[in-house]
Amino acid sequence: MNLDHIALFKHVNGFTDADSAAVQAVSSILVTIAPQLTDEFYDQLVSHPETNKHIEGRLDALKATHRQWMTELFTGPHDETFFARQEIIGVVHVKVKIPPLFVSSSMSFLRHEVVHMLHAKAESGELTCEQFEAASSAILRLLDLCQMLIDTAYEAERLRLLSEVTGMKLRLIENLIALN
Amino acid sequence: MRADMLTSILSELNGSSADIEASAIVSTDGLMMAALLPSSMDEDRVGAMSAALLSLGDRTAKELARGGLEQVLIKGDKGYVLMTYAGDDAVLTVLAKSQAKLGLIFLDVKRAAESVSKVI
Repeated sequence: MNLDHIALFKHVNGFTDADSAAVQAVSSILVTIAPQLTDEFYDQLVSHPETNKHIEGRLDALKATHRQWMTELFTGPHDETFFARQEIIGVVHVKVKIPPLFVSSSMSFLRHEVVHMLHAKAESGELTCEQFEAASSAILRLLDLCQMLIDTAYEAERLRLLSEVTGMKLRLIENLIALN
Repeated sequence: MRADMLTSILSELNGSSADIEASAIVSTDGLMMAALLPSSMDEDRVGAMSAALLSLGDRTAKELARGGLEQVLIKGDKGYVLMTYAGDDAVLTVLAKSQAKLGLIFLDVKRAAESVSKVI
């Protein structure tokens, strides 16, 4: 895990300890949306033949893993252990041959849905306007950070596999890429 | 100092046959260590491509049960590119003319690769 990259990303995207605190302050409410969010997410994936291929026969197990991830996202702490887990998620996705397109489109879906559900919580009075604004902004930044870590792990794992198959050192592959 | 010694080996190799047009020594991660190449050629490209081809050749020879790699030979209608390991960490790349007598060049290149491996 490259902590300098994480620090730079957080500096640019604006995720701070205050954001983490804003999420954790309302985590008891946030975790209540995790099951519905997970169900809607997998309904979306099942509804397309390409994404459904990667889910068939494993739906319950995948949903349980996803609910756990959402819960960790909502409860924190958003520390090095949390960031390291996002990288592992990337590596696992490569190992089970999930295309990167599925990760980015899934993250996009989650960003939209999470804000939609939190807005409903604000409208019902479970969250104040300030809590909704602070939590949704923080979660969006957090999801972006998660995606960066997953994408980075994805790229590293794909390069590692290329290196393993071709016998080319990682430095050599980087040098080849740099030729253009 | 080491670069001078490597360049001297390349100079001797290029002089050993009129059919050898250019040569270079590259690290296995594709970085140029010494080169006697035409000015029109990009050293970075030659280095990275040579190391990549030798790595792939090495892996292919193993996968297809051809034993340890001795060399990779590319033939184009304007000549040859010959690549061989020079020790464990370097690649010797030679460009030869299309009418080159390969047997003699193989011998000269093998000798030069041994000299390079002693320097590195």
